[in-house]
Amino acid sequence: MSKAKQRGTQVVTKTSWKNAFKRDWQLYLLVLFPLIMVFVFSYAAYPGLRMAFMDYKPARGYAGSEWVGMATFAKIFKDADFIRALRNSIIFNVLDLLVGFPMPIILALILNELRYPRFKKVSQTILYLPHFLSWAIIGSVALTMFKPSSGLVNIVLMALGVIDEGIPFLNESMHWSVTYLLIGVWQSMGWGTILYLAAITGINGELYEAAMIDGANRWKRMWHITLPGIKSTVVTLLIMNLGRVMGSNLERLKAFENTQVKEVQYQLAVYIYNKGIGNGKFSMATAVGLFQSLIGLALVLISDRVAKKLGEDGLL
Amino acid sequence: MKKNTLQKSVAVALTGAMVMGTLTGCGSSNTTTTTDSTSTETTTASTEAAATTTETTEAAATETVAGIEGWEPFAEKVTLQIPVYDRGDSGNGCSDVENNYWTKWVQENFGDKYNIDVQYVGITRSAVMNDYAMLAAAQDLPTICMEYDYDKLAAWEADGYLQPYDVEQFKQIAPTYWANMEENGLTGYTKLEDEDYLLLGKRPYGNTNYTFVTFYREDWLKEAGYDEYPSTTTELLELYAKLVENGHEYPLGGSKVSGAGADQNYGFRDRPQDEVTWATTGDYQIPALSTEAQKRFLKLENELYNKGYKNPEYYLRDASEVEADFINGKTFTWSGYVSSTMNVLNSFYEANPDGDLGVVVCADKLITDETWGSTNSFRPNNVFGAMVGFANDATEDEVKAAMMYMEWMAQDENLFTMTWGEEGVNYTVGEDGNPVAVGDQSGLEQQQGHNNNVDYWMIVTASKSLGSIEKDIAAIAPQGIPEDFYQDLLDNYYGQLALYENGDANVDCLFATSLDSVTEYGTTLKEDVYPEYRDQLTMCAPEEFDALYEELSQKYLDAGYQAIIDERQAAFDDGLTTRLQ
Repeated sequence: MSKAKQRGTQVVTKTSWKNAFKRDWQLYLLVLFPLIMVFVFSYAAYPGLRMAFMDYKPARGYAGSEWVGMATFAKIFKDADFIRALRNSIIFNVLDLLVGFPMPIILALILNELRYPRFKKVSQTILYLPHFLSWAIIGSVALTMFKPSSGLVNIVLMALGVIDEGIPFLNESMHWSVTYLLIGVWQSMGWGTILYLAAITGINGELYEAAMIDGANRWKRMWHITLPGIKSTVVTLLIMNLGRVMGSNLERLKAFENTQVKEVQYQLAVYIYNKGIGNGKFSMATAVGLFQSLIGLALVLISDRVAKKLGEDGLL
Repeated sequence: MKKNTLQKSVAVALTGAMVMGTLTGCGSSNTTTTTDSTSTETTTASTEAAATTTETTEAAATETVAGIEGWEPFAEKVTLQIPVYDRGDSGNGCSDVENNYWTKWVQENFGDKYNIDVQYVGITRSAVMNDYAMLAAAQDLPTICMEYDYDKLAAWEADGYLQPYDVEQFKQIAPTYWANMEENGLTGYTKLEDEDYLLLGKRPYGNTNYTFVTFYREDWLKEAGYDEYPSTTTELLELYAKLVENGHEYPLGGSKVSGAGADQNYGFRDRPQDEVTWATTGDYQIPALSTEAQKRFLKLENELYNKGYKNPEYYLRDASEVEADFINGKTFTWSGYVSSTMNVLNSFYEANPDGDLGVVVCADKLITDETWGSTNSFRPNNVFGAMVGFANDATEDEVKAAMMYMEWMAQDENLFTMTWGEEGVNYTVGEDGNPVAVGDQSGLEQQQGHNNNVDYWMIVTASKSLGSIEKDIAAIAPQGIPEDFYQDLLDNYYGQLALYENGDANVDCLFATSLDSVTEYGTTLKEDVYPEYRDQLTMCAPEEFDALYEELSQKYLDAGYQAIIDERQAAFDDGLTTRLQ
């Protein structure tokens, strides 16, 4: 068949940019707002990154500060505190991922199986609530509950004769680590279920009906229908979470800060805040921030590539 | 209107609003609150004043007559930004430090007269350097940069925050302020790197520290069989043991330690002091871990912890809990600045109507405890109070306005009103004709800021003064409580003065140059490293203390303290420091 004939039979779907804009200009106008947000808060700040390569003095500005190239990075990488912060960040974020990432999925699967709608809704609300509490509040409550001798939990356990002396939930490195991770999971797991529950509602109900007719029990339906149904969501979120392996939440770390656990609590967010911003060393703070972002970006790109090689859609 | 058109219009309006909102958010955020008190009346008045003077005044201060008499309003409105400490919960005055009755009073009585918009900028008391760094980064430093610590001003100068000023111009605009400096011997402290950067407020009785005192439970003392507060550490430890025996668990309470001024070792130094040790490690900003004095201090902390006199959870507790413990009758002592309005004492007597308090009085001779190497010595203050510099980006007019503000505040009548407030509201006149501050001002429109507005008038003087120490102590003695501490406070002052005059208490060394190592390592050492190490030393077994002290001292030196010592030594050798008195 000749090309001319082919063209003749095809429906013309290509719309010119002008026509598209004319037709949907309200929509384009609406998208302008988020675009400006992204530009202003993400890209407009980029020129500030040069701070990492300068001995930036706030009062002198960019023009008056000396250009030092990679000197700040060299200094940071030699700093024992940075190495400690880097090590802790990686360890705790990987642990957070291992412990925290599967929890919302499991929870979403469980919630999805609940049949009594009222109970399901109440459960969901209760699970979401911790997400809305600030870390300052969670930290204070945790302190009241988990202090070694005057904490509520230890007082109760000691009164019941379960333990002789208080469990050092907050003041011994290993105990602190577990407390920190579990409170993190508790705080975020409910909220994390939202996306999975949304993905689950997108699964075709006929699949479940067919499986039931074929005799598949709940467990099998969950395993063979629900989980594969939300696989792409899981992969997307996993890739996004991998990008955060170098980051950490300053408020969460500050909420659980004390001198007895500094060996494990001292992570990059604390390093940036204490040594950088708190000390007026903006160059140092920017350099570490840039380093974090670049590693995060690399991790996202690599994991995206790996996901695609494994046959998934990936993120990008 | 067609439905479609309506939808389009709404979409356009919403989008426009959102975009404008975003862009507005991106504008230079002015962290200050204008003390926009100008009533219609005063605004009109100032506008008229400005209009009539436009022809004749370029700037406010004419060159002929010195002081206020020679001032004219600025032709164009000048914005003057003045820092004021925001002390949050630890303050005892009105909560909005940037906009209150007294900031409005300044605007009406000073700003409006000279066409100056006076804006106060809240500076977090516990994060001064951080706040200033943020303001500097936003190119929004207040016109006046002000602090009590010399090294902070030196660091600001080194980082380009400040501009030098013309001394002759200052004398012309602010002769009263300059005369105060001359009278108090402060004119020799104006230079940094050989240029005039600093102006200094006075500090009456600066050779003592009489406004910072320790209150103790006299009833507990008597219950333990004592008539007087013990004078040595050994005796104190015996008392603590008895307090515990009497059922007072953890009588010293305690809270986590961090930041400037933590763990001062003045009472643990050899007397007379070695001058080099004094110059290199004798400041109160960066704890002197690795020195003998700090070792003695921490060894005692270790004893207090291990003997159960301190709360074993102290490292998880805030200063507010220490206060709460004292108010609730759980601890033996509480230390803090004394003022006529003290919430902590008001609350204490409310919670403990039968409570009996005393003030620890400094003996008038040096008392040494051979066992612990401790003495009753203390840290005398600097002879100056606040140190003032002008921001590098302040315009000529703004600097002039700042100088005018300093002069205006230094006038007796203005300083008196800012300090004491309004008669019958903030103070009453006692039988001797002197003002007596109202103890509890909460709820008043005229409620003053922390410690009778000190953060507003600190630019002139660090404490209020009526001309004699007796009057001044009477003025700061806590009011509205069942007990009178006047005599104890006075005795404490004279005790400290005797030690100072005898050379047993020395003012810290001052450096006429900025020290890079202090800027580089100082904050990390005092905020990060020291708190961790001092807690390890406090909580270790007593037999492990010495070895651990050696180990952590070396780490501390390696973390930057050695560099600081070396640079201070070099400045000392080069004659760029004050000398031990």
